[in-house]
Amino acid sequence: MILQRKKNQSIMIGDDVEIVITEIKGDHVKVGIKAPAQLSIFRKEIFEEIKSQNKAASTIESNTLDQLDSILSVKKKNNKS
Amino acid sequence: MKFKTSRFGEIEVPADLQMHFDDGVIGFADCRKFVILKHKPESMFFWLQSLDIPELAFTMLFPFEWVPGYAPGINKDDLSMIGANSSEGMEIYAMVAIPKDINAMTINLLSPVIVNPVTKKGRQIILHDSGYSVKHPLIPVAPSGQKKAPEATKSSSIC
Repeated sequence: MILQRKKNQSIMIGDDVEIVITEIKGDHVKVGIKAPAQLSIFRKEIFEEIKSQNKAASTIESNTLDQLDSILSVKKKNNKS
Repeated sequence: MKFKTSRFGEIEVPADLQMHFDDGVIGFADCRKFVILKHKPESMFFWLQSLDIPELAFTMLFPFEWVPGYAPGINKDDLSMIGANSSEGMEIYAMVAIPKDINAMTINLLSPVIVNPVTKKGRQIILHDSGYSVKHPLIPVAPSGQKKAPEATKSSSIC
């Protein structure tokens, strides 16, 4: 769905999500969002980045962690001394 | 209760160790039930093992031990979602990513996993506009003077 809105006009999604166009400057638009606290709101590119890092965190092998544990424990000791 | 996992086989997870993530983990919204396992007694790593999907386990660590001064300002809404009033007593973990060159491992400081050990609720939050990175390098400088590192085939020409 595509809607046209002017500054300070808003869009409702369901009963409790409101999206307000608060500022328009050239190709930048500032958007205000009122939504229930349990709804997570994020910029899409950040969402995608976190998702891909989570995916990376879910594909790690146990023996890689063993290797890193030994590298990092040496490092920790060196830092302390 | 017994759960199947692909990494650890069948494991017994008593109810008080089952963590509930009402919104799942970012990108994995349907996975709500987890257990947190230490990789090995002396290890710095933890597994966030899904109790819904046997193959799914995320690697995490305690960021504070590695990033001095890390101060995630957790907002009230996120805290209330895990049944807490303040961040005191909450467990905070960072997701780990390990590329082929394991020295280039990074941790996600922008969206830590917070767990309330009292209510057994957990959540991956986003520290909006905090300046923290999704890919914070853990080993900034390769240790020198060691036999170390056969050159990677593609050298890094960009930074």
